[in-house]
Amino acid sequence: MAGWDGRGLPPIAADRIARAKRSNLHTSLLSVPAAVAVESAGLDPVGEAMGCVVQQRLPPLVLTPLTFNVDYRPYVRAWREGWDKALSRLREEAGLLGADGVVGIRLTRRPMDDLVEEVVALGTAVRDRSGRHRGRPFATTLPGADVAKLRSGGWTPIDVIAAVAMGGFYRDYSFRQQTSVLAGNGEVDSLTTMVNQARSAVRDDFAQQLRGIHAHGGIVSSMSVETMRIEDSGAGVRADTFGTAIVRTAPAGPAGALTIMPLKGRK
Amino acid sequence: MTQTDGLPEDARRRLAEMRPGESTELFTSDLSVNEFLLVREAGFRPLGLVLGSSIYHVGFQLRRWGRNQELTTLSAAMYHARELAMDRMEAEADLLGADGIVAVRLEIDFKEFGTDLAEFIAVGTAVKAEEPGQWRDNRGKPFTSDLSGQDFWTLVQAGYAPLGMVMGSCVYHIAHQRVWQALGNIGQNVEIPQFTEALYDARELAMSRMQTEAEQLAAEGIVGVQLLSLPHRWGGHTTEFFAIGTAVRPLRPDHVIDKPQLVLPLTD
Repeated sequence: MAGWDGRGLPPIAADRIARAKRSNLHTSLLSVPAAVAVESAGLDPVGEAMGCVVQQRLPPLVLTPLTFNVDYRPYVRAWREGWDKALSRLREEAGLLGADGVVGIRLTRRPMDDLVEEVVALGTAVRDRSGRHRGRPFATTLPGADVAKLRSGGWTPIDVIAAVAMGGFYRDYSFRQQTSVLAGNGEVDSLTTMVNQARSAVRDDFAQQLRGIHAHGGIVSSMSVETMRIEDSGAGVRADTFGTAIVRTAPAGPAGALTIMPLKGRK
Repeated sequence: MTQTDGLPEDARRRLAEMRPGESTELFTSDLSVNEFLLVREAGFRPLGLVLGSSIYHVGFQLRRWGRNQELTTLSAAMYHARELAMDRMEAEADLLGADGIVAVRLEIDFKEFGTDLAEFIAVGTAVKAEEPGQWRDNRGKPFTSDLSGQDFWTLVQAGYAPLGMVMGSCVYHIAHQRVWQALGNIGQNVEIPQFTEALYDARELAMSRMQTEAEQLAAEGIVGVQLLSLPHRWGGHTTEFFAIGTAVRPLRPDHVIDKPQLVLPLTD
């Protein structure tokens, strides 16, 4: 196949979307309960939407080994760009399908070898039956049933938020002392500070991204930290937080809960 | 020592910006959508996700092969580390002006590098009551609870308020059988008394410590108790027995819930 310049969608994806748009067949990745829930909230599945990018990723750059100066910015930038590109291609496919949003998005990142990784965002595009169009399709990692519950509670999702922050430290003498076999019980100060700062910075990033799109709030769907060795004498931690930005559509107030007791036993 | 000393500077600024009433007000929540909606039904507003974490080095403790014993160094480590994590989480909730923290998760993640290093994490969602009321515990701290949003709503409907998470932990080493005992037991259906006694002792220690914490809070009861046995990374004969629940106090003298509607779901 002749080279594709990386702009817009690859030719084969554009063909697939054009074919899906012409056809009356609406595929989806939703489970049966999720499909029913989504339809009850006034959304009809239109098709799958996917965004994918394969990119090169450099590990954090150690600038001066003796004083342990590390530049994390290219690494963090590449990390963010992976998610951004995958999500923007997913939204482009949804837009071409005439969808109003994408639900149940699964985000995955897979290393293909030491320096190359594949980032994939995959979800089900849905159209709003009431004909109200927002412009940019909304996106959420929340499953279909949760989107239905949110909408009937007077909220709506607007975007996926993928936040990231990095921290690092030098494994100095006090660290080695506190972690030796004979050290006894005790908190490891340098590691604790680094992890707490990274976990706090990632939530800061999450909140800033929410503010940037004028959301009223965010629901966090997952948080994790990954620690990595940097050279012989250092360690770094990358904190990730994923979630969905939401806005209020109806005035706040209790909707009234109906208490039910299912007669079917739990498995 | 003020509680907020241990928080990084940018955390304090972030939490101050998220306080209700600030122009930069915003909420984040670790609650699933069910819980998010039900917490609002119960008359509470989610303020923000709060988290505390501690990387802890668990000290070495010699175990005697043939003896049932509590491994007090390890028990102390589990307590201390969880307390450090929870204190930091509570400090964040305090800065947000919260009345309490719901859906608290306590997690332990053993690290690959370093021997016996684990991250203890406490995560929850800080909430504030829409109607002003006295929700803090007898020490003036926001309540904590590991109850899900659904359970929290049901508890409040039934006329109880959560006081705080109470836990008891005991790391126990179960004696190995003597060689002649093991040989004598081959092929027989028998009780192994020292194992039975060890497990009884360990569970009793964990549960009585949990009850003591509830008594300190002047609670009327403990709900949602889980009794877990967690091997972590110590091998077959060393286990942590961990009892955790939510201490509660009555909000009003009557405890009546609306009769629920019985339904038969057609899906799984």
